[in-house]
Amino acid sequence: MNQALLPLLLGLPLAGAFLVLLSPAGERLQRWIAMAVALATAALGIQLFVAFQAGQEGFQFTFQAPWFRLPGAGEVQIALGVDGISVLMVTLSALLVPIVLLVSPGHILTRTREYLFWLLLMEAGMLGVFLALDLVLFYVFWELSLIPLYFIIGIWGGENRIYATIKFVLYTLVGSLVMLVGLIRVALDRGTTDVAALLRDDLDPELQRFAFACFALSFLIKVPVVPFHTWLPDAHVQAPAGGSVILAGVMLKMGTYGLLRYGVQMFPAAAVEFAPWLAVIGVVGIVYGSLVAWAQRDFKKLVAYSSVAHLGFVVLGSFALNVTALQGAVLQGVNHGISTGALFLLVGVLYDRRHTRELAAFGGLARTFPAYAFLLVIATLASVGLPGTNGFVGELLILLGAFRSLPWLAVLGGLGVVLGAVYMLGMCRQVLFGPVTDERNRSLEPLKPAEWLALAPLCALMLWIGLYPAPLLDRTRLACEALVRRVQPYQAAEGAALTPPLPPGQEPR
Amino acid sequence: MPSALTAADWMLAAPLLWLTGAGVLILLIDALRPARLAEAVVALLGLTGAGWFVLPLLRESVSGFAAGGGAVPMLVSTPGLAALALLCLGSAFVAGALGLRRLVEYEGGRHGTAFWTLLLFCPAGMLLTLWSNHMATLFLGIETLSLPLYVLAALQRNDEHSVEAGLKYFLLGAFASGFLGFGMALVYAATGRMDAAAGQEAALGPMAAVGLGMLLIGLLFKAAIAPFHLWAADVYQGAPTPVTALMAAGTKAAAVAALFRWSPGIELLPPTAWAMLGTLTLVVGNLSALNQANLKRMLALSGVAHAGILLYALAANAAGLRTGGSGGEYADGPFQSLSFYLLAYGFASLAAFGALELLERHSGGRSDDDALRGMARRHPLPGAVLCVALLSLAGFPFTAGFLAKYFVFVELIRVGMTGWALAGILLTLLAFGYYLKALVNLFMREPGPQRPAMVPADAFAAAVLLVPAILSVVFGVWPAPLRL
Repeated sequence: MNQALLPLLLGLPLAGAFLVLLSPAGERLQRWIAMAVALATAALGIQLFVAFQAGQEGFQFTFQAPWFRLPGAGEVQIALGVDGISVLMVTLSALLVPIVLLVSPGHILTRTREYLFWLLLMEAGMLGVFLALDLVLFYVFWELSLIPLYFIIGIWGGENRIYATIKFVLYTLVGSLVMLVGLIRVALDRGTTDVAALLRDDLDPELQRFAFACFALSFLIKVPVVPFHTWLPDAHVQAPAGGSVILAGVMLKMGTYGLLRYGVQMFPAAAVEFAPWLAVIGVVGIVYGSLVAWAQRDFKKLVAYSSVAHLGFVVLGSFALNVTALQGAVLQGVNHGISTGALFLLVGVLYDRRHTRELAAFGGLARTFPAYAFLLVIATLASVGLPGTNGFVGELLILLGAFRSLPWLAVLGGLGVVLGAVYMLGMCRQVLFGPVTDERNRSLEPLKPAEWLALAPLCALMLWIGLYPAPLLDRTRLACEALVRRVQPYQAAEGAALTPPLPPGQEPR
Repeated sequence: MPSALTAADWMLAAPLLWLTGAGVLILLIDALRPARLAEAVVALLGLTGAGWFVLPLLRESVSGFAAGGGAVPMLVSTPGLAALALLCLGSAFVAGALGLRRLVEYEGGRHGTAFWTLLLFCPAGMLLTLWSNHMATLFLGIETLSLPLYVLAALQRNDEHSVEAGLKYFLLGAFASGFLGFGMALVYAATGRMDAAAGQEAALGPMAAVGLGMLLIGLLFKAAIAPFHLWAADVYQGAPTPVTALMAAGTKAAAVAALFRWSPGIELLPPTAWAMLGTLTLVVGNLSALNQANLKRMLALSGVAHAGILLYALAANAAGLRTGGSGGEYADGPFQSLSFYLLAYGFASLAAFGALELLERHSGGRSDDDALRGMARRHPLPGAVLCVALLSLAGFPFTAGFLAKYFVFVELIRVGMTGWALAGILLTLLAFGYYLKALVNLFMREPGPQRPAMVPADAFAAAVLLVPAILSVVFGVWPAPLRL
């Protein structure tokens, strides 16, 4: 079973996608088939999470099969495996897809078959990114996950969808093409594309710098960090609700995951060298994203920019380079997927009913639409990081860790928490409280069972992780410790472990 | 001095004889007892049979027809070249299957015989070109593949674009053949040799240098490489779409492979020159494709851009020859990457132009963006084939097109030309722009008013078309068999 779990996890959505595409079934049946496949995949994802040995270092459930030979770079393998960093991402991705399917009948009104096909194909691509343990295989899945979203935004998106989808693809492609150059150079230099071997290897520092720059550019665009973030609001606003959930919940995590695995872990020397700068970029993202989100009048844009801020935290945590911050970064990745995913679903709920996302069009929903208000408040508080919700644990760990290695940046990051509360609570006030400004808001259709079924588990997860994060943190600990062990020699060499270089513009006191 | 043909000679001659024999048979059928079905069957059997004769060549390298009993064989086949030969035969088959309903029936079926005969002679020329190791066979091959194409391009003689395509291709093609022939004459005059290695002689005089330069220009023209690519857009667009498919997949493969095989002889050009020429072609092809509002023309110009990437394989080869000599584990790397690229590009082109042909039957023969708007939604099978083809041409993973680009850039980086690889990879970004634009137009926009179909549903063409589309995906996942 252990051998077959990961190939099964990958193969199921892939096979399901083509089953839906080629089966002559009617629309209803297609939805059921897709749902069954997604649920089975989610069950496997949970099984993976449960069976994962927290006390065992390195990759688990590994699977290997030869793929093709590349002269000078050995045998390219179909190598799969998970460790503490990826296992959470895999489970999160597998869990989000059924939720997206659940709400899709609300807003996917045409060409259902194609939608289901692309969605399942995307699931396979995303899972592949987290599972792949071969550079070429990773790259293939990385790109594969792009095409489905291109179609999902382009076909089922909003008014300006074609501009948004082409912008999204071209931005991402610039990054991935540069990554390809770095990838080939590493593969040729080491004569292998086996990730597990490369993670043990000590590459030549010059090559590390080059490759790290290539890989990191790609990931930073995907995350996205300021100034590469401009594709994100467009893509989010135009994407259908389900597409936004996947985009925020999983797609962006591919960037943060990549930064850890193919940035810090694979090129530790370069990572140590660049870490202060990347942490600065993270903090800029936190502050800038928060300020821009504050100014938004569009509900979905506000959530999109809040993503930029939240992912700034993840980047800051990743490059603080100590166990606490890294654990926080991984956890915050999951948290962001859950709470922002829920927020996008909640935006979609309102949009399906009113066909507008203007914050000003709402008000007083707490009285007219109490169930919605209940869920929105939970999601908002989780996003803000109120103690007792998942966001608190993640942000706290990141800030604690960052204080230890980059105190000034951590202070600025803490400012981001305050700003986050300002704009998220402001949004809540405007939508939920105050007088009912629009009569149409008095007669909103109550939440449908499918919407309850989609939102309730997400809210439950927010509270569960907030109150009892141990199962997640246990699973990430060893992997994060291994990451730190990987960078420590270089930190010592730079003398950076205790006295980090100050970011530009900061005077020592 | 009669010398008996050896077994190797027969192996190489068999597909050529089979093709030309079938062509002559069709002419006889037409003269004695005209029967349209019989002609089609003979032609398709001719192509299949020739393919069957090529199969043994996939396993081993064969050289034959040693000139005058000397050491230099006139034809040389390697497994990689044999695979390309199969691609040429396959593209003729696809062109035949696609032409069966529209071209053969054109003007009451008057041109059926011409179509089938030329469709058999043309790949014979491609095979000769691929295997040529001597100027005589190269020239013969290029002419045998070009002349049928001139006629095929102009086959729809009531359509001014078709006639223009034929005429333009013929005039410029004849000019290029002139360069080729005169260059060969000069090289022979200077060195006294006519084999592919003639240019590798230690001391090349100015006459030989000029001759090699002219030979190069002739080949660059046939491969549609900038600045000799200007004919490509008009000819591809004007020619009937099945013929365009044959030109894109088959002619490109034969011409570029010949260019590769003859390039070591053209030692005038250092690796950087090849890379520069490739980059120029890539820039010119991509920039002009970006602005097209006609899918067929866009595909033609994107084909120019693909030839640019292929030149990077030549650059890697030239660099490898300079630094490491000819031996070593990776000596075959550049050619392997080139032949894989040509195969991947060939499959994708066949699928793309073939699907376009099927869509054109519902768009009144038009291939502009306006006529094709939303067509993939109305016709899902050609739509899906076109989608796979465009993704493969763009180079998305899980298609052969991705691995093809990957292999070429690996070769380029291996010889240390990382800067050129970076430039090339970023230039392919432009290509994503226009392929995605085409997909947007086909899939995401609302279709226009329905037009009557020009020919009844064509299950045979659709089935044949699925093969290159499926191969594009299969070899994108499992490339090992094509790394020949």
